[in-house]
Amino acid sequence: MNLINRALNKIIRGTEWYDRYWDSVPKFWSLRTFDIEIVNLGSNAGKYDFCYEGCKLTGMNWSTGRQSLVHDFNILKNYFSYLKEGAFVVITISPFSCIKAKYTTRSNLKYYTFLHPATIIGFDEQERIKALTIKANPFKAMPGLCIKRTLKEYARQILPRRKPAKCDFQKEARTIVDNWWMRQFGITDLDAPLSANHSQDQSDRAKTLHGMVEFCVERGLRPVIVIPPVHPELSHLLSGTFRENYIYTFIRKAETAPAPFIDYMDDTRFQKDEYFQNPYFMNKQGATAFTNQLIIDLTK
Amino acid sequence: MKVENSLRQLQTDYLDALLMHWPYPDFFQEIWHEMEAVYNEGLVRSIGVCNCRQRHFEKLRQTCAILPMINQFETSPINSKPELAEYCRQNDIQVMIYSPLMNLRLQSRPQYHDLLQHLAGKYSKTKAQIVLRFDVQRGMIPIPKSTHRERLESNIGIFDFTLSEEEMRQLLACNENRQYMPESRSCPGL
Repeated sequence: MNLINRALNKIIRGTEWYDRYWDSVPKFWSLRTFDIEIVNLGSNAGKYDFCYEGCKLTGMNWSTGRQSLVHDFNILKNYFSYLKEGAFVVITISPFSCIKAKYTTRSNLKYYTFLHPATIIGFDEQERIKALTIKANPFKAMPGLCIKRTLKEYARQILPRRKPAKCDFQKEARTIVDNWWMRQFGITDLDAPLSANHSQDQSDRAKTLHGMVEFCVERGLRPVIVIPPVHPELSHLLSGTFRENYIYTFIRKAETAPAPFIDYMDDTRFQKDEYFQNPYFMNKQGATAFTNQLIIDLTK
Repeated sequence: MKVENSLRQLQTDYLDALLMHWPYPDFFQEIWHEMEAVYNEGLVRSIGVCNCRQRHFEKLRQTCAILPMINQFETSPINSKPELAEYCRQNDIQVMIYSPLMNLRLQSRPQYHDLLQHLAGKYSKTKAQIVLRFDVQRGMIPIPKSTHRERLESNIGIFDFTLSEEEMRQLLACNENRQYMPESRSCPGL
C-alpha cells in the first residue's frame, strides 16, 4: 500500500460517513478499554438511546444499529472479556424485539469485521473476504464512494448549515407505526393477537433472551432488561393490548427472573420534545439524561 | 485424537503435557473425556486445559474422572486473576502462563512501569525478568517465547534473586484486569 493510499485511508477512517457505513462497529476494532462497568445491547433504539459521556460508570454502547437479539447475544459472547465482574448488561427491548426481521447481505457485512466467524449468522466466506478487504483498504475497495461521500462531508462542514426542520412528532409517530413496523412485520392490526408465525418467533426469541440472562449470570454479570423511553406521541399509539401481546408476554415467556425489568416507555421524566430526534429515537441530550437516570436506578 | 501423530513427529513415546487450547462451549466436556482416555493409555504424563475459569472446572467436575492438572492462561501483575489463581492452588491445578511478557507492551498505569523500573534497578535485572520472577514466586510457570539467544538467557536468568513479600504485594496491587488477548474474542462464549 503506497503512502498516498495510506493517507487517503486515514482520512476516510476519520469521517462520519465511514463510521455510519459500518453502523458504528469501528468502536470494536480498536477496543482497549477493560473493566467496563455497563454496556447496552439493542437495535437502533439501543444505538440512539444510550450515551455514557460524563456518566459515573465506565460504559460502552454495544449496539450497532439494526441488530436482532441473536446478534446482541453474539456480540456479548465475543466481547464479555472486556467487562468488569458484576458489570451491568442492559438488554434493550424494543416493541418488536420478539419478531424475527429479515437481514440483508449488506446489513450482515459489518459482523465479519468484529465477530468471530463461528458467531456470524449465515456465514459466507466470500462476504468475509469482501468485508475484510473494505476494512483493510477502503479507498482501494470502493474509491468512487469514498471520494463522493468524503467530499460531501467536507462540503457540509464548510457550507453554512440549514436549520433542521422541526420534527412533527405526531405525524412521524404515525409513519413509524404504519410504514416502518406494520409494513415490515406484515401486521394489519396492532391490537390483534400474534399470528401463528409471530407467536413462533416470540417463543424462539424468548429462548434467546432467556439464554442471554443465563449467560450473564453464569459469568458474574448483571443483566437488566430495559425498554427505553419513546416520545408520548408514539407511546400513545402502542395500546395496553399491544404491549401485553408483544412485549410483556414475551418477557414472561423468557423467564428472565434474576434480571430486573425496567420499563421507561411512559416515563414522564423523558417526554420532552428536546430529548428526541424523532418519536422513536432520543437525541444526544435525551440519551445522556436517560442513561444517567438508568445508572442511578441500577446503583441505588 | 491424533496424539500418536504428534509422538511420531516429535520422535518420542510420551508427552509431558497435553492441553486443550480453548474450552469451546459446546464441546469442551466431550474433548476432555477424549483427553482422559489418552492419559489413561499412558501416552501423556499430564493433561490440562487453557483459558478455563472456575465455572469450567466445576462443570468438568460433574462428569469427569480426572480434574485438569494444568490451566494455562494469561496473567501478569496488571492482570493477576487472584480468585482463579487461588482456585487452581486449592485444587492442585498447576498454572502455566502464556504471553507472560506481553503486558509490558500494553499502555498501563505509569505506576506499574515505575515500579518495574525501580525493581529492575534494585536487582540489576530487566523489567521482563522482574515480571517472570514475580510469576515464579506466585508458583506459576511462565512460558516466554523467544528465538534470540540473549533473550532466552535473560528469561532463564531469574533464579538468582528473590522479590520480597512487600514487593510482591506492590506488584499484585498493580492489577487493572488488562490483558493482551481478551479470551472471548478468540473463543466466543467460553
